[in-house]
Amino acid sequence: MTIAERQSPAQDIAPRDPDVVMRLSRMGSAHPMRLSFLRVLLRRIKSEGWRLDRPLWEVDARGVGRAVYRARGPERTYCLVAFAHDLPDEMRSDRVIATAWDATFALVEGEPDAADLDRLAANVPLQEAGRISAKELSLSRANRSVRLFSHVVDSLARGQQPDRAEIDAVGYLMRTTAVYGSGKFGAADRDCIAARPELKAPFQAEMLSVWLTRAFTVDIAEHMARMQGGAQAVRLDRDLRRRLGVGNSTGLGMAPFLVRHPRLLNSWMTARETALARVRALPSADADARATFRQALAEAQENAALWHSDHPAQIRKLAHLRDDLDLVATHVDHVWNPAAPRPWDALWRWGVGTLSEEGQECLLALLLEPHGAVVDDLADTLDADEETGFPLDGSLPLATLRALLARDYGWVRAFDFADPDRSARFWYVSEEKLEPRLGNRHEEEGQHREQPLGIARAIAELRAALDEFGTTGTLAAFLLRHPEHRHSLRRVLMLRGLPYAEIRDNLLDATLLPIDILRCKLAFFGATRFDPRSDRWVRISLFQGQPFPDEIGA
Amino acid sequence: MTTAPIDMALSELRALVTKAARGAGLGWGHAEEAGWAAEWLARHGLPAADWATLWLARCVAGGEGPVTIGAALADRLAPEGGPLPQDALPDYLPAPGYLLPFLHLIARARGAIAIRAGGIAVATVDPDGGVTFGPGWAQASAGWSIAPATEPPTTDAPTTTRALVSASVIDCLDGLALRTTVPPSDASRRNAGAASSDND
Repeated sequence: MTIAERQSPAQDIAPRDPDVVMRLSRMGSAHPMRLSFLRVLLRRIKSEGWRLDRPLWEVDARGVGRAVYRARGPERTYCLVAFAHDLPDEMRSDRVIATAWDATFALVEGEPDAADLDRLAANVPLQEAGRISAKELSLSRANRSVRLFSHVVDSLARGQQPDRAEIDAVGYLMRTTAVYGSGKFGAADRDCIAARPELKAPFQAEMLSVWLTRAFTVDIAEHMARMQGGAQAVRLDRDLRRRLGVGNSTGLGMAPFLVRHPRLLNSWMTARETALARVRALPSADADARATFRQALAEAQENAALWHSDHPAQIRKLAHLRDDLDLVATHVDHVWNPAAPRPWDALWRWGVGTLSEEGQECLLALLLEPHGAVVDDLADTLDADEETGFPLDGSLPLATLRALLARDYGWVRAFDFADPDRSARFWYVSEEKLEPRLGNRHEEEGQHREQPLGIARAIAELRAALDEFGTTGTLAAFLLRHPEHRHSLRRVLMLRGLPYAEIRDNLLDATLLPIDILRCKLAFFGATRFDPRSDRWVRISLFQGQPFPDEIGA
Repeated sequence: MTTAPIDMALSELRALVTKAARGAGLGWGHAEEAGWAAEWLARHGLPAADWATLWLARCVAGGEGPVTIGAALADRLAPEGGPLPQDALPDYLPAPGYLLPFLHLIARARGAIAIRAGGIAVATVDPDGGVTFGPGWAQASAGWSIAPATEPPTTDAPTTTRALVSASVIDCLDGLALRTTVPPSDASRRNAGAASSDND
């Protein structure tokens, strides 16, 4: 397929309306898809023939030591340095309040020498209390799933394979908590590495780190089994191994990201929505594409069956999803006419009229699956220049500003901030742990130190100030009298013409579910098995079902 | 005993100065410009963190700092140029180096600009962002003004990608940044994590 053929079909099918796409309930129904960041990474590693190995393994009988996992691409090499620790159960916590973990990691540029390893050994196990350098691209840690890790080690030590149902019930041997990159704790800045093709798409260094961490989680379990069982021990069956991902446990710390990086959010959403529009515009559905779609649907049904959560909201959504996927299967097998013009568009429009938001967003992911040749190039558009437009244009006429607000922020008028429930929450940073939290404005102290994440309310206040100021004049004159709106004004101007930059919802609302924000971001990472542990804390799995390094390149 | 300076990523420095500026009483809009200016300065190899402690201390005391002044100038003059106002700067101004990033925005529209002290140019920024300091820069402390530059600057384009900052300066900025945070309460602790154990 030529570039012209690939791009032309979408011209008469518009991407979805941001008023539909950017609502929290729909963002909180997002599914991983071909353009998710871990899929982008694995496609590159495979297509470029990266060589992957483990040049260092120094771990003792207690499971304490260090290891290095090496990924050699066409131009550069990256290494995950892993430190394995002996963590007492009573110290195991996924929260940022933790001070020790089962394992800690850093992704290093090039190959670390002995001095690098010693430097990292003195800092990486400390995580936030340590420092890393411009040579490092990420800093992370992981805790065991105690139950599954023990089951797998004990089984392998006895010479038996672990129970598949136990593996499926948990899905990972370890779960990471924070994975820090982009300058955090001294790591290399994003703009120092963003020009490299392999790191241009978002979070590629972090995804590489987690993927190599997944290999470590199995290696350490097999090592412990050998130490425990000696010659009797066996390695984990490769099919069972594929069923293991890396867990991730995360909370409110991740939520503000999408508000603070609106140009990036716009890039992600635009890429996904453009991909959907391209597929809908395809004139036909050939047999290969139909078979791939049907296979992806079957896998989605299996995934939905294995996907477990105890959270009431997620239980409801899972029930909808399972029903919806059955409906899709029935429709595709018995009703859908793939020979009709634009068959994928017909299927999509049927889904919009029939399925829940959960089902619709899953259908989106399924529609992209057979169409790598049509959509995969959009991975090159997932990044964003987040500095463009930072300086304010003080010469802007206020009439132009009003027109911008009317065009881009009309959605704000849906919220009546005279109602206390519309501003019932406030976002703040805790003094104790420097992590984002969400307070109840009418019950808790601290709103004078509120973080500027209530975009809808801020825009409503800006609009009111403009009404009071008058209709003529320039932005510079308005700012002299109203410096308190400087932050909102920069945002409005920086996001001009970016349809998917704003979450078109009220992040201060009494009914806000922060897990909706988390799910959207995690779906773009490529996360599966979204399992809320509260309204603001979630566990997920990464790389589950994907190949291991020794299956791609050795 | 002295401790070694901390090797900071520029985004890390920018985030720290943004929070410190907010903690010193600036609005969020000016605070993020303080962070942006700090990164601009650090990229030029200038002591952005040290200078920040000087002017932020004045802001804590209720005074005006170079970021609000520089931002107001850039709002007015960066888009379309125009004459530089003679009374743009107060007689006393802590850390005038923080004006340079904003003057660069203006210089892009109307040519090189000098910061003067007592009528003598002590620093010049050109349209490409190059900065030249005169011999009087270190001693200058009052009588500030800005004017079109009369000599072409000669410095190279910025290349620095890291900032070395002393631990005491970081402590000072951390202290200001802490003023953006909320002390713990039973409710905040209760609502922060998972509703179940992580030991499973």
